[in-house]
Amino acid sequence: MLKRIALLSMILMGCATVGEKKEIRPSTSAKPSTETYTDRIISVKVDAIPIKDPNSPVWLGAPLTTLNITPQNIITPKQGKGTIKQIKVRSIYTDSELGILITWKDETKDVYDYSDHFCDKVAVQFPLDNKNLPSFMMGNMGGRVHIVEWKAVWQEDVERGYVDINDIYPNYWTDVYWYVNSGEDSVRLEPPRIEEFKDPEAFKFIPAYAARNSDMKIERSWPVMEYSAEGFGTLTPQHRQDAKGWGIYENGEWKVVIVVPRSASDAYNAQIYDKTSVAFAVWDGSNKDRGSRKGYTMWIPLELRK
Amino acid sequence: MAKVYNWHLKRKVEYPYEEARPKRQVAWVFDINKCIECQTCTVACKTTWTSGKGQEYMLWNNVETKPYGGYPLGWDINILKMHKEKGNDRTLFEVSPDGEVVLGYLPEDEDYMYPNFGEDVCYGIVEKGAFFNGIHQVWMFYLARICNHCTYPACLAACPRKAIYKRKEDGIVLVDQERCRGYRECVKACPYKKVFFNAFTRVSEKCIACYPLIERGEQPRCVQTCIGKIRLQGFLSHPNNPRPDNPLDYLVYIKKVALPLYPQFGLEPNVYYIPPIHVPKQFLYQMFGGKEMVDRAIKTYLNAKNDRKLLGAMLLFGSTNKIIHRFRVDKNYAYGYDDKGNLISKVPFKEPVYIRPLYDKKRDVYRHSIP
Repeated sequence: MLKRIALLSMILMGCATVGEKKEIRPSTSAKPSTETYTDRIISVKVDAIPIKDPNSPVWLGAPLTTLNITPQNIITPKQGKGTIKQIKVRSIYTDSELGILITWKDETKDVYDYSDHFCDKVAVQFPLDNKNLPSFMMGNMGGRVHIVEWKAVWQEDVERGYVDINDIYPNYWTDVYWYVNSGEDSVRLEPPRIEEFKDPEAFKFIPAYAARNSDMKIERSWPVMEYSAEGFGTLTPQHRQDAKGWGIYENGEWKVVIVVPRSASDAYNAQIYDKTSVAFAVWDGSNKDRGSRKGYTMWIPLELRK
Repeated sequence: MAKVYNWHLKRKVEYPYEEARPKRQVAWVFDINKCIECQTCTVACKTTWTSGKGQEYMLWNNVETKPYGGYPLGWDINILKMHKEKGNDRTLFEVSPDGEVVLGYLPEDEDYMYPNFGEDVCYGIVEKGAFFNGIHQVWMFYLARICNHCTYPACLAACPRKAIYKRKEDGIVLVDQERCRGYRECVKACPYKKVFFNAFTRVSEKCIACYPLIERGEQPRCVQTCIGKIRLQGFLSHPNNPRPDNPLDYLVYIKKVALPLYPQFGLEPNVYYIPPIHVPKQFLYQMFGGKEMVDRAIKTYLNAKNDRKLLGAMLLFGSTNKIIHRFRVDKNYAYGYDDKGNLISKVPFKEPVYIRPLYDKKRDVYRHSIP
């Protein structure tokens, strides 16, 4: 019995270190914040941002902002009726980075992107010029915005390896995947996974990869992408990817962390000193949200509390 | 929306962009009376273009049996029903719901699971005592389908990222594989359901009209490999300036023997079908632009044996891998020429017959049924 208790204690202790929970604490206040807002986001300073742990108590030290989500019904194609009504936001920062935790209720966890199925997503938008705010709808010509997007399928890519056709359709199979399984004598019992694509020639048969589509990354460090935009339809991946992020789904809720450098040498990134504005967009895969079929917020002031 | 001229409907129609016809429009004529659904075209396309990850289910070219077959499942029935509910005297762009560029639907995952559904299935059962009186009472026919490289593509119009473009030089419609983000607005918009989402790359793909072949003066793979020689690919001139020596112009604009598929949708599709002559007309009227167009096409086709120029144009189908830009006929032959005026095809109206003796003395063999 004692052995069992000791073992259980070890397991619990081991768990406690996962996600750097023990080390990271808010430097300004260790207590959970009781402040709540609906019209601004107050970011508080911490020693380090627990990127991979949205449940860290560090986040609770920051005030909670609740924002209403509006269905995008201004430009075509429109969302129509949205399913996500609210998001909750907390923000923390360090000398070099700004972190934003976004949580929202979503009854369905939509991870895969296939056929008529779409994955859940969220995006944060920063103005490049926070004194002359561009349109909250992805900026405007001459009014560039910096957008960081997180996708559930990218989260899966990072955590479990690139989502392969074998994961979505286990029985899909083409007789020959060129330069992959040629010359094999034995009969295969399952189609090859992407990890078996060794010969560079094989990648020529993956069109978006061969065309260097920036969204199509088989190796991905973080489940987020940084973009620039100057209005609808202009979303362009940035050459330099500085953002980080992480998302978890539990109890019918997505909790997504997005972290950006505050002062990047990348001219396409927003510089975040004492205050700026942010806007959000959120997509529910089950509602077939994608592209402009999304829910959004207008610009929300964000203040970095000293 | 802009007002653009649709020569199929002979009126101005609504489209999100201004009229911008290419210098010449890639086009095909399929004589579906000759199609045997061998799927050689399908296999040629599949092995050439869609053997990669995420392309397993894609059939840029497919041949389905009408009336029941269709890939994806019920693509035509679904959009026809939706169109009818909105009043099918207007185009899909003109009846687009609020918030949409065009009336359309996104097929469900299962719709792609049965590419051979309805294959070789007849309309009904042959009743006792039935006899053939010119129109088959129990019927079916094969419909070979590729992207129509429409003059007014719905896929292009619906793409919010402008990742789909129509080439100025030949009217080929392509999805930019670098720019696409996989929203599938194009899949939803295309009434012919000829844009496919690649779940591996998370980007949409479609028929590219074998443009590497076309750029070097050759017809696409599906045309080159067609066993039944039912296909001819070429270029259509501007509808106001048809050239009688261009086989495509001649068949489509002048003789009007080949008809667009569901022109009522308003996309001005560029695959033209010679309608099957033994199928109930009502079915064809719905598919190929109405009574006047279908009746005239069938009458013209049935009279081809007395129309040497028309017959000559049709003899050139499958006679060469090269693209025929100009043709002519004389008493004995139909001739096809490339864009530089070189003779690339010569087909006799009457195949020569050689009668050889049953016994070949020189080789000491008997010849049985050897042509």
